[in-house]
Amino acid sequence: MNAPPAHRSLRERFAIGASLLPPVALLLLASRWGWVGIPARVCLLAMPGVIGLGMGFPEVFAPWYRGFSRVRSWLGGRLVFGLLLGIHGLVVIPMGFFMRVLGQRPIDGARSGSSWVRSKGYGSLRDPF
Amino acid sequence: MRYVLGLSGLYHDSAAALLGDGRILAAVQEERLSRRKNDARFPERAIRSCLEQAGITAGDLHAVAFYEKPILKFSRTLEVFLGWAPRGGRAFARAIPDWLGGRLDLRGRIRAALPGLRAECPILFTTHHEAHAASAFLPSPFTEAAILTVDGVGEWATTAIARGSGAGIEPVEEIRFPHSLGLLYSAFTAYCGFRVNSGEYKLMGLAPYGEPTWVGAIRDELVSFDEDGSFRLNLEYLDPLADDRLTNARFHARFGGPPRRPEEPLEPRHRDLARSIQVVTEEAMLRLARRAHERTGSFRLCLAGGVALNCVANGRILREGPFREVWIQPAAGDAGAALGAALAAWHGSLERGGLSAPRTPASTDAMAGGFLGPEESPEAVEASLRSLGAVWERMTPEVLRERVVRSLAEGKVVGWVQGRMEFGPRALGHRSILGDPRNPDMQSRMNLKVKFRESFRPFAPAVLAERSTEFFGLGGESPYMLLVAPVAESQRVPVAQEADGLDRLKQVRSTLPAVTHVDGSARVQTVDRDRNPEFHALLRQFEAVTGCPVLINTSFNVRGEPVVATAEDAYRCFINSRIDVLAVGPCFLERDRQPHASLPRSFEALAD
Repeated sequence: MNAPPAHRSLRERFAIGASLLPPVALLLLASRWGWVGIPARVCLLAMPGVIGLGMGFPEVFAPWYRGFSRVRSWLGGRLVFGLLLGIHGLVVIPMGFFMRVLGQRPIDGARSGSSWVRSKGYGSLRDPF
Repeated sequence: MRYVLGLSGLYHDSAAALLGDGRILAAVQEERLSRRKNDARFPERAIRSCLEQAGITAGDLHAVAFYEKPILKFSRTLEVFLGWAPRGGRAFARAIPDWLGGRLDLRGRIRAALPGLRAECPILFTTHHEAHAASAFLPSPFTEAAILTVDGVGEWATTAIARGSGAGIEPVEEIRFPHSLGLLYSAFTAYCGFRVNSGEYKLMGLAPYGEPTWVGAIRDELVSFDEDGSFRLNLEYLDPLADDRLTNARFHARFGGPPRRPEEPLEPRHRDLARSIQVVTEEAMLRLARRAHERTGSFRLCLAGGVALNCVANGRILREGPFREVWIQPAAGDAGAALGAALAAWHGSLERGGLSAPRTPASTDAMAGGFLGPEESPEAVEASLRSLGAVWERMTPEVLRERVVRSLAEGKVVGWVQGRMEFGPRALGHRSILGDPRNPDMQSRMNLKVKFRESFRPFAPAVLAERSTEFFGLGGESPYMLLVAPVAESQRVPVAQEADGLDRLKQVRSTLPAVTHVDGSARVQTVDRDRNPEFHALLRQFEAVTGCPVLINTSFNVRGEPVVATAEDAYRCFINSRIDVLAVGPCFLERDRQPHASLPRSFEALAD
């Protein structure tokens, strides 16, 4: 016996429908560059219909949506990683360099002497800082 | 009744703890319920369990306390990246999404996890080491004490000394990141092929098989000690931003080669490194303990923080340190900090935002034997077993004990699940695998065939408290299995010729060979009637039948698995390992009568 289809919220249905847009967008680009014979206007007009299709038949497109989500998160993770590497190179490294030039050393790397620091108290419990 | 919920997590070992009018009602580690070892995720299951145990909802809470100050920790993280630049790019790219994904907005996250929490219920934040200090002192039996907390890193502090008096804790001084004993020990843990934040106890267990040949190199080049008990790490050998590795090429060149991969065999060099870093850690802990005594003048010490789980060092502090009494938080790692955060909020002053409650220390301690987790009713146990198709007999406690003792005396391995689950890393006789310690084959049998773990790993003895001195040179009680002590001379058996390396495992060294480590020591649990009546009764019965008041007590799990929580977890583990007999609640199960050869496991296995 098949399990009854899970209840899907409007938000979830929209996400499934929207996941169908990237292939249409690719078709649009291909059409603009003259790689396919479909007019670009048709692709644009098809977009709301494609979203509606996904929203109307979420169970049909659920496997596609799962695959799309996996690819999106894999790609997103790498994009964010690259972006943050860039921020590290462009912001953190120069700032760290200038801090050192100005005599600021956030990491105490000294090799000798006492490392005890007198405690200033625990501070307020209300503050997360 | 006024309720305070304490939380820890989002780094490793998430947990929740609940106080009712200052009494510890419940404390649970997330890993036990999520079945993912060292689970670092927000402790939603643990929160639910604590509230259910107390029979309350989030709306009944009067305060929620988190064990760290997230913005302070984030600012430290950023400063460290600035200080470490140009290195640390990959660590930066890995760490920042985690912070921006909800660690900064903890108030929002906590409120989202606690639907129904009243708007006026405050969400409070202790510092990391305040939570550890509170978990060490406030449940202790002492009215005043020195408090020493040592771990990897909190916000900035890695080591802290405080003075506890009444309900108050006054911080005295601290050592700050990157100078960290916990990070140093973890660096060697990773280098020897074990997992950081969970494999440290394996390194400690490996240490007695090696020689301290690297102590000089570690002292000369890696860590320097000052006369005042403080220490400094040489950062030329370490990469403190790499959570999973911590060492660099220079370290590898100095200590004899690349890091060991988990699947590679252990070489004598790894055993020697384990021994050497253990010696240095013990020395550092003794120096810190002396400093704590000097700065506070107290002869009582409370210990917490991950390094306080190093029970060999703890034993030396007790025997050689200046303190007359030592109390160690049984959940000394970050899980216990959830309890510390709740206690700090309960006893914290009104000016700081606490509830300013007075404190009356309990005569033993306030940890209720560490049995602070959930318990299943006999009906729930039977329902679980029925759903799994198990075959069992339901018995009275007396008959159950008799059958279990008979099995143990026959050399069988018994899974024992009774009462409330333990809080903290040790199984103390409520979620335990038990065996006869007099059997010389029991250690390798239980390691290799029951727990599927490394053959060198030692097992701990549980001994009747009233007879502990006949078997172990403990000089006091050790109800939470946090002290290592020598096996008593009267129980020792002379070894004709000392073998090398892991061959030493096969040599009989005492009348309790399965729990006597190769250096003649044992990690002892003393069992008394007040804290642990069911387990005490079992030991008494075993003593009556065999004359021996000691049992092997190891946690009920297999390699990579969190300790079992429920009857279902226990049955799956029982079937998939070679445990002979299972006693869960009132039910007695024998392997031969079960219809299953194996069952799908219910946990996410954790690699070494």
